Amino acid sequence: MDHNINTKTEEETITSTSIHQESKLLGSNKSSYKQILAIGGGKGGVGKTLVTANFAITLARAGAKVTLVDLDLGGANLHTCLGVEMSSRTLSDVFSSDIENIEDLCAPTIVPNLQLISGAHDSLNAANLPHAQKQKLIQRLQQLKSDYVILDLGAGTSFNTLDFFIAADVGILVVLPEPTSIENAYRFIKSAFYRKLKNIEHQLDARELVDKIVEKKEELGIKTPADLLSAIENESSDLGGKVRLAMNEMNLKLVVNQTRTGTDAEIGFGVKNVCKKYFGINVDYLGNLEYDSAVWQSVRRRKPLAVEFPTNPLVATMQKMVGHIVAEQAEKIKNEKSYE
Amino acid sequence: MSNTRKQSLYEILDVSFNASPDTIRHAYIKAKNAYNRDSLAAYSLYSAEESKDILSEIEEAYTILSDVDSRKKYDDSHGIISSDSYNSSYRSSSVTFSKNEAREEITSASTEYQSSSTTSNAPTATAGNMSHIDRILQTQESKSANPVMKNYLKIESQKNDPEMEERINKCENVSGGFLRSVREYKNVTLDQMIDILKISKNYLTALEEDQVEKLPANVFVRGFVIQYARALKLNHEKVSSSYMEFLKNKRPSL
Repeated sequence: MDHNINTKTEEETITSTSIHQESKLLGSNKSSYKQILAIGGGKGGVGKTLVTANFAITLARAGAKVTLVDLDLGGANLHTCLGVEMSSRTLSDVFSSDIENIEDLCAPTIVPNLQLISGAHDSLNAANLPHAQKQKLIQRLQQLKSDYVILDLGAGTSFNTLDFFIAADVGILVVLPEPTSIENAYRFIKSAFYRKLKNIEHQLDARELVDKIVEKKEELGIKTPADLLSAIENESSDLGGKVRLAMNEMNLKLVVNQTRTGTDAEIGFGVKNVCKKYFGINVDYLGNLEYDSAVWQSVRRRKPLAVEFPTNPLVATMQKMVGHIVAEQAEKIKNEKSYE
Repeated sequence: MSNTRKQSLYEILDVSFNASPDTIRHAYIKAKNAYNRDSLAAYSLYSAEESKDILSEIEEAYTILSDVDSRKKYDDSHGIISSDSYNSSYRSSSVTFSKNEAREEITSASTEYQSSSTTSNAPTATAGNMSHIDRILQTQESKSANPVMKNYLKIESQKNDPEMEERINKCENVSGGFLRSVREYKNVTLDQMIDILKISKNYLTALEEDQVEKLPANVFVRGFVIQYARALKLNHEKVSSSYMEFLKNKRPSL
């Protein structure tokens, strides 16, 4: 049940205002302008589904039309925590059958304004999609009649996961304050960096230049992805600037989950700092989520935290994070409009 | 690392040229924590020795930037006007338009700042952290999206030259001369620009007149051009990369 629908918290009001502002700016273009948020992080069990479900609920309650897509191909379970029966139609139908309209795959959830496309639970092959099918799926997702499409990605750094992450407007990384989780997150960022570089090399016709630089790696003293970006800039400021811009278009955000001490929460700033230096890209630290036993209780009850415990402080924290993202996107739209 | 771009002290601490002493101190603490021996953030990407080198760079940057005199000396030698004068003139220029106007022009960047800060009293550790984020956002972004800049935008809308608008839109072949023509087109005087950017007149004139030999090292010029573009509400990424290409051709040695 949606306990909280009529009494909006301050954070929710802010998100609503920003969404309203966005709609106003977009006017009749609104239907073609949607934001895709991808949630990844490299490691399993770090809280990707917690963040995905509750971010989606926050946006839906603030008045946006939201579609959640369970892209944990091979290990889909988002339906469980949104009170949706595993639907007879899943993502595999996009590839295998003659689905004309992707909206047909959407199932309503217990939260108004929020619908779900279930993951491909039945097809092991789905976890390893050929490129053409991925492109098809991304195109279909862009056709959805939603203001926000939120992708819950699987663990690991397969090309599948990376390609959906790169295709999104905002890439959210969830980590735990543990060495293995941080290491995996870096591995994930590194893989996303090179995957993205490969994509844009092609788009910007920069392959020759990048190859030339990579060949002289030792000579040029390139040790990190950030060094590589600088070296491209040194060769051609114009191209280098474009590559750097494209890299930052991944719009990376970081959430540190299950923190128990202030030091745990501080790790986010460290990761942000190190990413800037090592990868040469900006990571925006959204904040931390404190360890709270209410989270596993809500998982047991198969209800999202925001539905089962709407007054839990973590819900307010996540609302604030969403407010930050929405306000930033509204600003971006505003700037784009002013360039037009 | 001969090829990689040398960082300014401000870049090492990841703060803007006009960062307050408090912001610098916070940035220093965060940077130090990141590369600390016990830190989870750095060990898997940097060896102990590399972290040690980075830490000494951070120490050096902080030693200079935390001391008023040495910061001023550093700023002066790189054409940056020191932060104290920034604060006072910033205040004076922001009172040139009415409060109502300012309220109307509040961008979502500042709404965002407000949004997080309204909750900073919440009794969670997160609230404290979010306020750090606010601070970073405020220093890095909100100032450029500030009413001061908005004031110029109003002036901008009084003129309409399609050819100029087209050039502004494309931001191609950007030179100092081009930047000056955009500034003049938008009715911003050189003095106003100096006031906003806090860059010495000599450097700003050299920039606009393409006297590239008089400009400081590229890393600083890039910073100036980004700020210049932001103040005129140009696409700063496009402008800076195009300008740096121009500069590199004119002055290949640096």
